[in-house]
Amino acid sequence: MLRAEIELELDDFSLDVRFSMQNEVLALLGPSGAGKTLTIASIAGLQHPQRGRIEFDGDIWFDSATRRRVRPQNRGVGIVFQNYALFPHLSVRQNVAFGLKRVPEGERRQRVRRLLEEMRLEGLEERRPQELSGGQQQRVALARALAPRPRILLLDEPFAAVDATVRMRLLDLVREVHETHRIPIVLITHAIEEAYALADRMAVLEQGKLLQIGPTDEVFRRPVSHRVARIVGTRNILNGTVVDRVAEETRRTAETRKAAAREMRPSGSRVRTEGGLELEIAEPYPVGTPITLCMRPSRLDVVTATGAVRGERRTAIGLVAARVERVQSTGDRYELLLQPTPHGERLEVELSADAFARRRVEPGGEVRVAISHDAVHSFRNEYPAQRLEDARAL
Amino acid sequence: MSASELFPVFLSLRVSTIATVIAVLVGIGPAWLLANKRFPGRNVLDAVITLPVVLPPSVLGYYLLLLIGRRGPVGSWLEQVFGLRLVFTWQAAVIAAVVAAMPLFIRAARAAIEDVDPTLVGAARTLGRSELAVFLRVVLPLAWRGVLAGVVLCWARALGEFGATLLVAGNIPGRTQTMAIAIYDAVQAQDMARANALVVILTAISVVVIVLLNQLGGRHDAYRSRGGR
Repeated sequence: MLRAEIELELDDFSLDVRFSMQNEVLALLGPSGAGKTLTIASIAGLQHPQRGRIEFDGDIWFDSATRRRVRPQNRGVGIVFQNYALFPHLSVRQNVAFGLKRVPEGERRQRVRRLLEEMRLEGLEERRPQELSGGQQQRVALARALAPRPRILLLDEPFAAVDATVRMRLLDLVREVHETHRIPIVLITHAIEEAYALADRMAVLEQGKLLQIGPTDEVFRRPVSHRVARIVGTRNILNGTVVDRVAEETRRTAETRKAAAREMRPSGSRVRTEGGLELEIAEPYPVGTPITLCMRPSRLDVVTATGAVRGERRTAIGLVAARVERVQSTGDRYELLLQPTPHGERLEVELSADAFARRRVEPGGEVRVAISHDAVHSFRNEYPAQRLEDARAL
Repeated sequence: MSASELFPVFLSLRVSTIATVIAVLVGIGPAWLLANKRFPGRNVLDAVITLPVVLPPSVLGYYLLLLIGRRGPVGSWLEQVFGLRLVFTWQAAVIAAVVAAMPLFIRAARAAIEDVDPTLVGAARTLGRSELAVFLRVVLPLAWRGVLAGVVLCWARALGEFGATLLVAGNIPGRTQTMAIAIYDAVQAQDMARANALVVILTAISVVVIVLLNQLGGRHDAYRSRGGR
């Protein structure tokens, strides 16, 4: 549906992204200053890239090679701006009807009414934007953008300025909009939760570059680089080096040892992290490869220091002795901060309230962290050793 | 004061009002252009528009005289084609007032237009409205205070125009003698009563203008301070 190649240079910033999308919700995720807003402004025709091409459903909206530039008026793009950009001198009704100049009077009135209903804004028709709450303004902006039946909807940080409960309802609303209006939606956000709640796919941007694009879950679970891992909020990021290849056999559990011994082939690697932890991972890398490990807190588990390792936890590829530094409850989840002993990078572990109660974890207590296979995602580190320090300082 | 003594008052009001209407109609386009567009020659246009503010009025009048005088390019053409002579008519006073006062309108209008949040303009564009509709329905309603302040400023400057007017329209009592020139004339003739009357009138008008400008300026940001950002 949408194919965008955008190369845009400003005085102190350059943007270079290319991506395509179908009829789906695509989240543009990245820190502020990553170029997300410039990207959608280029799609809308409010910014003109120096080079590139933007195509929607076979229509060429922009092509630097043929100097083609379709005006924003003729692209059929609906935008909700970060500050809503409602016309302060017009009422809610007039704001929503603003893009319906060419629609006959009767239908115009009907469309405005239906959209105001859809956005639950009945009774506010004659108010001015500045008399509305943030969430209401947000919904007026959404109704206004949808009124001319756009072919694509662009949302610039739509939830940044509203509180948590309003945000939840707006998330639902955007999902409904995608279902009822059946148009692709590009959602700019710097909050991973919003991307995760809404988006089918996710594009991670930083400093004007597209670092990774893919299904939301895939990007979240398997970031391709250190920078992506940080942006998507991965909490246990460990840098290390492959020190050894590991035979299949040692990775297997006791039950299958005999079977494995028959076909002993090298598979997996042993990694020593910078903090001094030694872990085994499934992926085979050459010895000496600089590597980054990501471990999702919810995939890690703890067992008490003396307790037996039973059941599924036996498949753990690593058991790391650690001291409990901090326990924090978020209601139904418990977040533990663990300091491996005698040394190693601190690890964050997340347990359900149930699991937490059964494991009898106490601050200051000694435990072992059970690291299972599927908890660890690894990738070759893109940084030379020197720049790792800079990356960590970010 | 007799009708003939009041003539300069009515002439000045007529000249400055017509000049202001012309300045607004001619100036709003360049004001919008300078506020919104980057184009080659933009700085030149900006400089040409600013020049009359900086030039001494007599120099401005001299240039105008070269242009619309009987031997000037515009003046000789007008005379040949239409049989018109501009110099030393009240219409020449209008031209002098337009040239001297229009920059004030353009600068104020441009600043007011630049003050309008560009995202609002962008939003209006993506909603499919023409550039003219965007200007009339969004930019002007949000910038009108600043634009109106420019109109008032322009009118006040036109009302008090002296140097350029004297050079191109002269000082013909009952025909081209505006208030500012009449004051000069009265002082030259030691007619202090006439000078006093005209000075009082001009001062009163100036005070009203200042009050008006303060009113316009004071609520200039009303929308922005209330709008929840």
